[in-house]
Amino acid sequence: MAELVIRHLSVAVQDKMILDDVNLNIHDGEIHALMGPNGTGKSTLSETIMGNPRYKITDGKILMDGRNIAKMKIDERARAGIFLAMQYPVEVAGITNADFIHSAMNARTGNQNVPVLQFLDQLHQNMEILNIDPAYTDRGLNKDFSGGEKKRNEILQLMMLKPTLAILDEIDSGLDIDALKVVAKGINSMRDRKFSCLMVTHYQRLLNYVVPDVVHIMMNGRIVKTGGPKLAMDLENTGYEKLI
Amino acid sequence: MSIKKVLKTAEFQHPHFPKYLGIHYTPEDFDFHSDQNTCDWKWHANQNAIAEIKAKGGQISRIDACTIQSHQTQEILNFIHTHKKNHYVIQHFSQQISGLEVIIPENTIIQKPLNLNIDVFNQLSSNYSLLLNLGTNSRITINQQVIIAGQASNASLIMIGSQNDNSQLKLTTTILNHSNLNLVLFGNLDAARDCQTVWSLTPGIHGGLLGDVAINLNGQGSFGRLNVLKTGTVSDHCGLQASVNHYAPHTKSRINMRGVLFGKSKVNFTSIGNIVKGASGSDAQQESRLMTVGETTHGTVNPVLLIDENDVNAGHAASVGQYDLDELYYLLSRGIPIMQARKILVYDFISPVMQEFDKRIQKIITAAIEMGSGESFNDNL
Repeated sequence: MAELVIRHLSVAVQDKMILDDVNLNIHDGEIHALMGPNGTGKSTLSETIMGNPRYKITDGKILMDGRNIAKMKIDERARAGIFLAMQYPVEVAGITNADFIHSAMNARTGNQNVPVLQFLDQLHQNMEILNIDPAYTDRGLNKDFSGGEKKRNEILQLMMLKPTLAILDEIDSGLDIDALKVVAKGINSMRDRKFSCLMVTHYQRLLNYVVPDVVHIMMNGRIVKTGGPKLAMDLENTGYEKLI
Repeated sequence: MSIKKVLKTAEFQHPHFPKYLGIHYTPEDFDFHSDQNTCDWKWHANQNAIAEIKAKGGQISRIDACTIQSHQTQEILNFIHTHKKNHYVIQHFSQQISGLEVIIPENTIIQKPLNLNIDVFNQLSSNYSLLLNLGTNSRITINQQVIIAGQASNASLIMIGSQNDNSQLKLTTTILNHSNLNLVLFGNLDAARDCQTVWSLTPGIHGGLLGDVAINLNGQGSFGRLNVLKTGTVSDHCGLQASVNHYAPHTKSRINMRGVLFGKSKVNFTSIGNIVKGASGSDAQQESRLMTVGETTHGTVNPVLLIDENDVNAGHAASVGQYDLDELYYLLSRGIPIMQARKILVYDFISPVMQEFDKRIQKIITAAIEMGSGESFNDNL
């Protein structure tokens, strides 16, 4: 179960208001797309849900399955089932990709560690789906990965950690069409009644491969329009200004 | 003439407290409060390495006032002459001499790493010296661990090494103590032609540390790598200078210093790459970095390049700062608990130097980081 309810959310960064009275409902099993011009607050919303301390909630609530998550720490939110695929994943050379993912899985299971063989089996299966070279298991986390490899690695983590609510912040940026299809395959493999997702994107092309249930348009820190998948197609033809 | 008698001559009177760029210390802290007539210590090592060294004509022998040999006296006097104005060196050798000598004859390759453990039990100030001598075309790995287990408030360690042509030395030095201590540490490794010298040092001292270690590349084509890993916890203070001196052409050096500061610890690192006139074609690179993890730590790094020759390569990198908060956020966003996430970033930071130590010493370093991780942090997360 993963229902996200955002009520009258306002968020500031260094005293500058970025989000202004945002309202959003994502029900169990739904995939939503959030679109909008640059600098309009899409990433701010994503980071605020994850708990990035740079973003201060000045008003409103974020409820996940009825629980206000605003007071929860970042790692607590993650263990509660929230996952943020980041726009620019960082590199941490000192921990291997496999050890990192295994540690993250173990953190979610409490005291019971995921058996190594079971973990590796699952990891290799998912890497095959995402066309990731098996050698990347033992490389430093995202170390010297290309932009596309980092994005695929985010989806690999998504598939391994199996969150109930995923936020994908421009997961399609910098991907060629083949890589986009692979990433979309990974996201679609997660589709389930227990999995909800908010995809932040500039481009309609991702939505050809991961068809959303709901599309939102955000401008100037507010969600100004909500509709079905057709809304994204209309946007592609008209642009943001004419659509509103 | 004995070392003590030499030190009483006019040449060695009125030594000074040494000064190092960027290193601030209270001189009296490292002064011996009483003369120590005997040093209560013992050594042990892995038997397979000892047997191999003996079988191949090498030796490991204890040095004291009664057994010291003329060549040992000469090596020590040579060292003293290069530090004759250094108060702490004079102080060290004014005590009863105590230490160990390792000799590897020429054309000898010792396959087994020598895990050399020195346990010092003194209740008062203590001094210990290590002499190393590698013959031409010889090779050895020595993992030296000094544990100061007594209640001494001051100690002094001096390492003097000499490598003949085409020899290879891989030396790690770990120093640990049980009660709060102020330690002075000096070391010179002299490398002749075409030598390889890798010296990795992790002074896990609780209390104060003042150190000055150097590799001297005296012969053409030699390579020296000097690694330092310091973990500061509670109120530890450390001033450490690491130098590589290029005295011959086509010599190459790498200095890599990493310090992790927990609690209220203070660490000053100075790294010096010195290329003298005539050492053409030399290459000196250095990296000195401190990670300030604790709430009220103080750290400085002072990279120095002294270049007196034109046709050389030299460079340095230096940094002092906290771990990257974006990296911490990323780890947290996957559900990794904050304490574990911080430790991942600390291990990431020290990994280039950590890998120079064997598993036994890595465990000791890990324990120091675990201890430091129990103190307060400055990331507000």
